[in-house]
Amino acid sequence: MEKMSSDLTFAEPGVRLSINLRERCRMHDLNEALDDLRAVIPYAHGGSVRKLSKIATLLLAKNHIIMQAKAIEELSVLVSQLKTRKSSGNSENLEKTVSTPSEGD
Amino acid sequence: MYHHSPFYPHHLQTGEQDLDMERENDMDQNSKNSTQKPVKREKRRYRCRKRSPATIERAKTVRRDKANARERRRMNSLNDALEHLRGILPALPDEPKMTKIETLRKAQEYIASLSFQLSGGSPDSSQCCETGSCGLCSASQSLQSTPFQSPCFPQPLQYPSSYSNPPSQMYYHHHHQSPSFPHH
Repeated sequence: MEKMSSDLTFAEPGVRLSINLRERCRMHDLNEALDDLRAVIPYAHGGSVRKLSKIATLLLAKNHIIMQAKAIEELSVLVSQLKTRKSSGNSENLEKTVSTPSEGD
Repeated sequence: MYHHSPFYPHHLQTGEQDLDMERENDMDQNSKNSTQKPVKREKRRYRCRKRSPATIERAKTVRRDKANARERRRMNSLNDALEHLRGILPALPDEPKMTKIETLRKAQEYIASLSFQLSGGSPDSSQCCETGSCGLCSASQSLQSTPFQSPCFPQPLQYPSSYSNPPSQMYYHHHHQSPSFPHH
């Protein structure tokens, strides 16, 4: 278990220093994770100089996730629609492709 | 001139004769004002205001309190935003609440994996989107570069319920084993 900082800070000044160091490392890791989050958010670095602020990255991350989830859902709906349309009109399509040459892709 | 212009605050406009006196000693001005009729409102600037030490201390406390309140509000908004993010991320219900660093890391992984799915499963999809040159991602790139203008998706979708559908589950081949989208 960690020592209570209040009990031993006076007795061992080294404890205070190690606590400071640990806090500094913690903050550094936090900021690094925040930077990694910024890296996957669009608009975060389109050539602009200013980094996105903390609050902005959090809000944008939330919106981006929501948007991507909606997009995936919409796309899967489209895919299932295309699948049903393809299976229902399959015979017609085959005749068409055989009779007419396909246009340049 | 400057002091008579319509843009200069009206209550601070002075007559021609007072222009010279504005720069003079504060005491002179006060004595003159006290003997004269108070026709014009006082034109003292803030730096000439007399303040007792007690007033100064009170002002300092007021300023500190305001700053503390502002900082508290800022921290609250930051924590609220983090909480929203926590709610949106996939998490097991019996797990303890994610710590700050955990939510940040998980959010980054989740966004990366969603981008991966949207790019049709091509490798290094996140990097492709940054360079903007990958042909594979061109279809979904419009989605990723303009996250808030999506003309393709006008209808608001009930995404929490949709994620229990089988077709969506096959996308979760990644480390996200949670079958249901966040329950909030």
